[in-house]
Amino acid sequence: MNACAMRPAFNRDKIMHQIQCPWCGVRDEAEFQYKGDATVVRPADDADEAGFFRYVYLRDNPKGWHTEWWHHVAGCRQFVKVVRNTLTHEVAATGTPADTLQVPES
Amino acid sequence: MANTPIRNPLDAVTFTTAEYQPDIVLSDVRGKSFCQLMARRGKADELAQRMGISTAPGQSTVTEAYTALPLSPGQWLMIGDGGRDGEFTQTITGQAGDAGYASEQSHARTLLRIQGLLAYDVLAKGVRLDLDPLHVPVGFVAQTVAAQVGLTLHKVDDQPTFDLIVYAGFAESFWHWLVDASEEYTVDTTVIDQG
Ligand SMILES: [Zn+2]
Repeated sequence: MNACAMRPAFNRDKIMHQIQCPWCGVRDEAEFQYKGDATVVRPADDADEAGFFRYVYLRDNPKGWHTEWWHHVAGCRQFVKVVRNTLTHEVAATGTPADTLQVPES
Repeated sequence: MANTPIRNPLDAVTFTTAEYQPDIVLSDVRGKSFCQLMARRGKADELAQRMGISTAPGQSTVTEAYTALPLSPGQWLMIGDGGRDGEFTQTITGQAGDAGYASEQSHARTLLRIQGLLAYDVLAKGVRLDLDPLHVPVGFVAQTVAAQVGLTLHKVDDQPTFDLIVYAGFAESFWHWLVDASEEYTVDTTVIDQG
């Protein structure tokens, strides 16, 4: 399937460039700063160097759904968890750092 | 050592009165006190109750003594009268007790005001929020950005009056943007001294 066929129908509520901040409401993407992968987990304190190297430097580059941090710098200055499709920019869910968000099946 | 005279961020600005009834009135509101009130861990509700302010996002609490604008969970921008003598912050600190603490910001914030029905049109040129009165009631508060300047916006009344609180260092630049955006209408620019 080519990328065009995978692109969902245009839906103003779901395009990127607008992110639902749990505190501030729907805001323009320009108010946010991308802060990277929200799925990396810090290894235990006694983990070896390779474990920390992976934690600090190594990231997947997924095509499709990705759970990531967006920092609402121009608003409440909180971190927002966002499930975004890296291919279509569709945002499936947003929440606070404590929330567990459902990731759609591809 | 002599004290440095107190200056205002808009000292270099010339204020003008329109020839006709203005559509827009822009004001530099001086003599306000500002402090940022933050709850200690887990004490946001207790602090809000003690201060008589709402924990709801996007909604101001206005009392005789102060206006509280929610910034994020457990954080408010408190605005009162009195200027930069620190007294307002001391009062708020006293009221907050051990539920929170206040940091003095009177030197660091400037309150600019826009009034008139066409304020919606002027703000729409820079503010990325839908301020349509159908969606945005009196008391609405938002932190956002306009003309590349971060601001706290407060809808004070239905005239409408919007208070725009910006960092003092950006106030003059932001003021020029406001005047520029208002210029297609008849505009008065004024100083309101509440000190
Ligand atoms: Zn926010």
